[in-house]
Amino acid sequence: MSQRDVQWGTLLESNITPHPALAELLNPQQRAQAVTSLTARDSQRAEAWRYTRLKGFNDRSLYNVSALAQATPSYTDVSGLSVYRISDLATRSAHLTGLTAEAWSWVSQQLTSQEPLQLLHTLHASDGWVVVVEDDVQGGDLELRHIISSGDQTQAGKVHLNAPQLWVYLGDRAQLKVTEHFGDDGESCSTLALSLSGFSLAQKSQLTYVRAQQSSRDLKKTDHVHLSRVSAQIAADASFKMTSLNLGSDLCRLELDVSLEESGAETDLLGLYLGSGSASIDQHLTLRHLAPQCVSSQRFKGAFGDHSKGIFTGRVIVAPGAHTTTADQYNPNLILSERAKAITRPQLEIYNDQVECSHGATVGQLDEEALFYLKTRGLSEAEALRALTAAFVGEVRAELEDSALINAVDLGLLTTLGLEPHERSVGEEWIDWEQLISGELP
Amino acid sequence: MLEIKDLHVSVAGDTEIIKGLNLTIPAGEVHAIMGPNGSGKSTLSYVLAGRAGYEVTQGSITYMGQDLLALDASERANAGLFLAFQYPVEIPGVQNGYFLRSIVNAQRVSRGESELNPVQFMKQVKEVLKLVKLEPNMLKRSVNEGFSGGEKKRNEILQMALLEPSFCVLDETDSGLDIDALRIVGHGVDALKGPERSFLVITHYQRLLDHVVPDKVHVLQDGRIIHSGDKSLALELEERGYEWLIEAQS
Repeated sequence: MSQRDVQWGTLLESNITPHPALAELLNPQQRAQAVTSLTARDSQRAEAWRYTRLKGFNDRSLYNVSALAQATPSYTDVSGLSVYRISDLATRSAHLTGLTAEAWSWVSQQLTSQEPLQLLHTLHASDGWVVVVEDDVQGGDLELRHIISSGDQTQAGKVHLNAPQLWVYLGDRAQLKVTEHFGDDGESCSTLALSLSGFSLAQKSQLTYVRAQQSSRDLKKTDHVHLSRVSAQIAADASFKMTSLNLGSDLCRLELDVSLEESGAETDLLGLYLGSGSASIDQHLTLRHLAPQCVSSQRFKGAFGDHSKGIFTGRVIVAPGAHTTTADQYNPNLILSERAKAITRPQLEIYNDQVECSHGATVGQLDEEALFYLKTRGLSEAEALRALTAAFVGEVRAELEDSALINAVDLGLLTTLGLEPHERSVGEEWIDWEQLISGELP
Repeated sequence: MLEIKDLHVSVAGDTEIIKGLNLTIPAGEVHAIMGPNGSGKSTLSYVLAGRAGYEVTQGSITYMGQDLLALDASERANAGLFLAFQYPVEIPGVQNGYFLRSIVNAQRVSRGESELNPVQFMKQVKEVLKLVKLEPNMLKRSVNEGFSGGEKKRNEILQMALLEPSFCVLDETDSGLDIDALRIVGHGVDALKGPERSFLVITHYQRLLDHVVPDKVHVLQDGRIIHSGDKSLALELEERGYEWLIEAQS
């Protein structure tokens, strides 16, 4: 390569050998093709990546830890819930593994998509997971923790790259909960996560997906980059519910591509993204209403301190045949310092007129009146700030069941506000007012 | 308890609103400030509470022996000063119960006392809810959000009763209240009167003063107190308006 690609830089230089079993899927020709596609001039792609510039991160040496760091999913033992390594699938014929031809064909199709993040992933992936839930199987719960650690001292100065992937295939009326955590072990190494998560929901199935990304708080010494793509294809009367948390990194891009493919499909997408330091946090959503009577809701909340920047692009496409569509989009942003910035870009493309679409985007500061009110009651400036910021994210917090995640949100908020963890909180401790009021508590 | 000497206050750079105000309120007394619109009543309450944007260009405020103007809003609150807002602020997403317990505990900690746990807090708040005739369910709602005018004002008195301040400023607490709500609020304030607690009641009308009987009534006009008297002055103002006093001045 004579000259470095401006956007991808070292990311195009892959020196890993994929698992031999994956050679058929990720062979040298495929990789060369990926590089060609990624470096081709494409004005549409340039526009889509307008606010995420990898410059500053893309000239560093990479150390691929994907094979070492591959997380193993933990999941409930439910008959009809199967978890496969992609490398195992590629070596055996489908009937031996128990995977249906449809499921494998769907996965293969995903792996050859021309989206930049998929192409980049092709260069660096060593393996991944496929999860299949058979028809009518419910009660499954699966969790993956993608934590990058700095084991090898000789590689300490390099950016540790992890490229996990997860493909989930749900049968008719199946139900599953999936949680993915992304982070680092807090040791001083820079990290780059390049993740793919894809979901196929057959009719009347239901998937609840929680993804949480956080970085160690010492953002000065090391850099943490998070590039991820989440896709979902939803069949008739199926429901995809996602909560996404981007709680702190130097550069973050979440691409979310959701298709409501058959009538009655539903999706509820909830997001919280926080920025501190000089972070750039990009949330890039594409929602496709392709069939009648589908319902979608996007609620993405951003809060930014220091001189960080948040970008939300919410593209909603309502196809000509997708009549009786209901689509809501809501993107409030909170700016916590004079130098912080939020950009919000709702993009509605509606090709029929039987549609109920609403969108609301705001960029604002904390309410001065409310701050003063709280202070006149004896709360310090920091306590008052924290109470109002916590209130801003309360909607997202309320959706979380895992106390560790709630805690992570609270810590992320403190970093955003530039506060120390010991500051008093308002409303962060859980109290059962119902019981308290009725006098049932001891 | 509170001594204001030759106070001059400007807002938005150079517009002088308070122009040489003198006022002394001893412990245990209730003083009322009445006056026409634009005379500086609300400015006075904000300056006492420590709101940003109000510049004291001259004069002093001494509260219980200390320089009030050297403290920020939060320190003033912890020193026992309380402002009941004319327009209580709605804070969506902050549950009233959490809010009330937080402010009680913030002030307890500032006095070196231990925090109240939820059960101890509940016991205390239940008593006070009865005083202002509010239902315990209001603890589950967001602070003032969707409250009626009367509920908001009663929530102010509820906070006052919980925090037990030494000096209370009531900024037009009677505005927007119907007769029943006025009676509840008046009764609530009256119940909090004591030898160690002083009140500054800012109002347009004398009807609140039927419930909270003042020791002194002052008339504020164009940023200065132009006349003071006993409680009968409020009745006289109700009858005759402010014109006669303003004319006597000029």
